[in-house]
Amino acid sequence: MTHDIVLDRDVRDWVLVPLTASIFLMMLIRQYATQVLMGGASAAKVELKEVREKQALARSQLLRAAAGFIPESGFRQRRAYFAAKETGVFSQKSEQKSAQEQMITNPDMMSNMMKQNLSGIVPQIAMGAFVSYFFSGFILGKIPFPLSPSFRLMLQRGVDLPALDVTYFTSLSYYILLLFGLRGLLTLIFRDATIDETQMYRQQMGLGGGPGGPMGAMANPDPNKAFEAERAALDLTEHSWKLEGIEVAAVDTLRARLRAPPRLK
Amino acid sequence: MGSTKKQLEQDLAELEHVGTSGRAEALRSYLRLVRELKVRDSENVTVLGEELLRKHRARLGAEELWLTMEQVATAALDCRALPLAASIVTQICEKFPESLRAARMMEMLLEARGKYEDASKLIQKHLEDAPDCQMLLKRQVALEKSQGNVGAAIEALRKYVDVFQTDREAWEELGSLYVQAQMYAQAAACYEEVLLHAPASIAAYVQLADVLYTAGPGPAGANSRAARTHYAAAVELSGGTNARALYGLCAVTAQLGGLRGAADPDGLAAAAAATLVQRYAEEAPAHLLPLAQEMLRAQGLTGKAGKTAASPRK
Repeated sequence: MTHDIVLDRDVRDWVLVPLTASIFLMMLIRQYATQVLMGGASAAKVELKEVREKQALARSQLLRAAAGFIPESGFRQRRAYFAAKETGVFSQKSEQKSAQEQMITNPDMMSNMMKQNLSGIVPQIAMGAFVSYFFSGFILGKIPFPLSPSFRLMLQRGVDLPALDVTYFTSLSYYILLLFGLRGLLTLIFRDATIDETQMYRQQMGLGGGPGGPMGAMANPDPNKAFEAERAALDLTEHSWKLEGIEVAAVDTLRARLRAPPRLK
Repeated sequence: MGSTKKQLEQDLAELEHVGTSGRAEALRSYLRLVRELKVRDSENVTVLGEELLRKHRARLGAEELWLTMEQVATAALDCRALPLAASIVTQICEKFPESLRAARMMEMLLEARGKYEDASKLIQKHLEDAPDCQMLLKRQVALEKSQGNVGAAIEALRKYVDVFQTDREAWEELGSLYVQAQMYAQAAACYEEVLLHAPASIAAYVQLADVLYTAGPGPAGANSRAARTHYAAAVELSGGTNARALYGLCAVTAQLGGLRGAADPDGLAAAAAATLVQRYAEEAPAHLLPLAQEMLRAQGLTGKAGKTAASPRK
């Protein structure tokens, strides 16, 4: 334990350097491949009607929140515009398609998802196989600080030696570390266009994601239901005049101001 | 608002004092401040920005360089420094041939030169590819407006707010266009929308009340009473410092007074008039006070109120 392990120089020349280089190259290739494959997808067109419907929902929420500040006639007009039985905006059938419909009618979406998965997962698997075939079982170096034995699983993947000090790390662990750690370096090279892996995982888990992405559409519930809910909420909203008695309050404010001592210039 | 102005003045003053060595840095920080605060200070931006671009161009990073170019070009157009604007816009368009933002700059240049046909064609061409480009849709409105076609501008802006319904500034602009066209009912609807978006904004209350007052008393004085309420709200929110709201209260009460007897049951207009007189006595040059008093008397408001308010001061 007290003696350091002496590592062969060839390990550096034939494992450390080629491993680092091949990971970096793989990430570069992936970056460019994704850019080529997803080139058309990022400029997905937004339908004006969709924007209109989303904004109508937002505006109706505003109306419900602040109805008391405008005269009642104005409120009635707006409620009729949104929620009238036949002609209201929310009584129309939504032009937006729900997520399932979109999947069926829009083959683009399917292929986009395929492309994303292809560019994300396939190289990962290939690279994993490549690395574990050529580079597994080497000890590459030593961490300059002591660690508890529970880190063995993380740092000594591929080398099953209980007697080995935990601070030595192996080539497979180094590979995993680099896989996630090199993103910062890529960001320096490509600025914003770097593929964000964590973002992609999050999207694949269905935990939200960009509104433009195919997964974002999935999180979008049925727009017709949203219309229906908003219409019901509007119907329930009563106009309560929030500026009731504001004149009296204003008179009090002004009189208090008049009584106050004159301001110094 | 006051603090931003102070900040800008500080930065400008600093520019006076730094020597040539620190000047590039000072110029940059001033332009950045103007960008971030979104204030309109076109003359200074044109002169100083041109200097920065001419002498210290190499010091700007790629992103800041093009942001500055856009800013200076816009300011130059605002000051009608067309040759400068043209040279910058050409550079921008060469660098970003596909960009809608560059197209907007080019359109603004064409518009400033009076080539309205070409500008309109340019907008149409780009809108075909990107019908949801808010910048260009707004430019379309501005283009009509700069030619004086209020009707066409209203039409274009109506189409815009029909889609982008939560754009407060657009509603405000549409309201002012309707006022220009003397369509007060429609203008009031627009300003109501502004108020919905910002129920804590004093200006929104005053704008809406102004339009309601201008529209005339309405059936049984409904417009005037609504205007009075909104002016009162502005007075309450501003603590009585908004002079326009105070004047509005006086005017709208006079308007109501023509209709029926007791237009000022709660003494609001009298208090507003007294506040105005007090503020003139405290803050304005002396010769303005009699003028204000005269006007308020003509509206039947001072007489007693003005004296009672002014007398304890003396």
